[in-house]
Amino acid sequence: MGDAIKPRRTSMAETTTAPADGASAAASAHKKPTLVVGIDLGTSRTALAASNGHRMCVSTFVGKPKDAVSEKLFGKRLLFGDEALNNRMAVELIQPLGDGVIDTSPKKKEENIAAVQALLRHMLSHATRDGQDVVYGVIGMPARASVDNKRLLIDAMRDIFDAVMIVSEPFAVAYGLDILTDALVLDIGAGTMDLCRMHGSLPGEEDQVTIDKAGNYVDRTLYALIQKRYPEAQFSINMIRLIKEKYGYVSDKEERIEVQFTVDGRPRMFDITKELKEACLSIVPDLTEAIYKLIGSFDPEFQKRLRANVVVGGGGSQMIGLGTIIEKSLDQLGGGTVRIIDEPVYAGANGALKIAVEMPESFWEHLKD
Amino acid sequence: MKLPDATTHVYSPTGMATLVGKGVGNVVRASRTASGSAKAVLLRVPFSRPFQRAPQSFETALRKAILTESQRTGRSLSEKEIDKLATKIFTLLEKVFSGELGIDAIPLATELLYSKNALTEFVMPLLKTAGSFSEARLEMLKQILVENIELQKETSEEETQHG
Repeated sequence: MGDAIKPRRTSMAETTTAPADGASAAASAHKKPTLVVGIDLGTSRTALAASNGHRMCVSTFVGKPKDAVSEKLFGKRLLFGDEALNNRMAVELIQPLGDGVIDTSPKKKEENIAAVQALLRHMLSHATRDGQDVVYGVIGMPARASVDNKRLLIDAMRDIFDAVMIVSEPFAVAYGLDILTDALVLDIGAGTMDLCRMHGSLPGEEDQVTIDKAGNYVDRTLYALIQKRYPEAQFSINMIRLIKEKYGYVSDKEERIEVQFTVDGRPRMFDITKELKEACLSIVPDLTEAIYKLIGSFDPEFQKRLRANVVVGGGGSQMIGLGTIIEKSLDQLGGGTVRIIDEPVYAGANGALKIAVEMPESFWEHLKD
Repeated sequence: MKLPDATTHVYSPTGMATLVGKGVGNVVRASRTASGSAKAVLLRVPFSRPFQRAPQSFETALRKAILTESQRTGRSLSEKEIDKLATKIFTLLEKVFSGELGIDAIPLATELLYSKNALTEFVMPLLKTAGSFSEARLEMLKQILVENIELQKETSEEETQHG
């Protein structure tokens, strides 16, 4: 199709869709405004950034009221994000994504697809004027998501967007930060850690690594470690996740970390300093191994440049000391520089939005049904 | 391209530029103070490498930086494109130092302040929108489109097969 694609360089944020049969004055008066959005569809959180400036981030959870009573209580048929999480005793809680992709385990596939659709419709409803906008979307997925997973998502998004594209999540981060060359981008999410080396062209499969051990793995490890040390303590995996997000660290700090759990309903303080560090460190060996792999298999003349520009994003990048520990691991390869990006939660959505905005209108036309 | 002979300016808190020195072979540095006021300085930091004794003019340094970056990133710019980009950068600097534009107009101010390779850091973002770099970006977008068309096609075919 190569030559058939003839781009028009227009700003998507300001474009309107042209009528298919040519531009009559009357038709152009009824052109629908175009809204483009970038989405980071994550296992734990989904972030959306739109060309009209709207941004939002919600936990990737959907709650269905358990019965007529709870439905009446909430006054709606579905709850989203933190609202669903906070009312999980009264709703059937659905986490539709696992390892960064729609969870297609038996009996859950249809329900999860419907949940993802409902969640994105809910998020888009805040950004669009109901039915008045043509909506184009770019969605970030794990770097090595399977073709089946990508197809499933495209199919699920068909009724939600007028046209949709899928890109690799770390590539979206890199594109958003304008680091398209000589850089190694790490995106540490809840379901996966994605690595991607940038060398001035669209990264291929050999440039990307996805590791299925990420934030959720840290949560499970921490849960098991605390349970082992304090079998009497009462806590949930959600509480563990919040503790990790607040205190997670891999540095050599001396400060003690104490949290409150209950024992038979009575509150008590527990020292989890050692367990927290051990759990956070549990993902580091896989991460460094993947870094070695991507740098080591790169053109030797350019390896130094790659090492000098390691960029880390995603919620996992907020663990205190992670940058330093990655830099230390790079010493084995001759040293390097690691930068934690400023806005890890929105970096993927911002990058996807930038791709969507810069995508010429004529390109989108190819994807319309 | 008209180049300045005055090369050191300081932003006062009121946002007006004050001329405080002259020189050649300089680098632009910009920052915000803790109180929030903007400060931009063209310092007398030579671009010349140790083996280069003679200081370079701002124009030469700018052209070299553009050339180096364009070569490094594999995007060859023609003389005309380099000229155009250098003029663009220079006009931007002029506007910043005359107070017409705020300090935010200079990208990567923090990096400029702390980078050892300040000019290159400054040139890079501008280079990205110049000449063949845009073509490279467009090529990337085209590849993304092709991949997605393929995916969409496969999805439709699968749907047809399953009735």
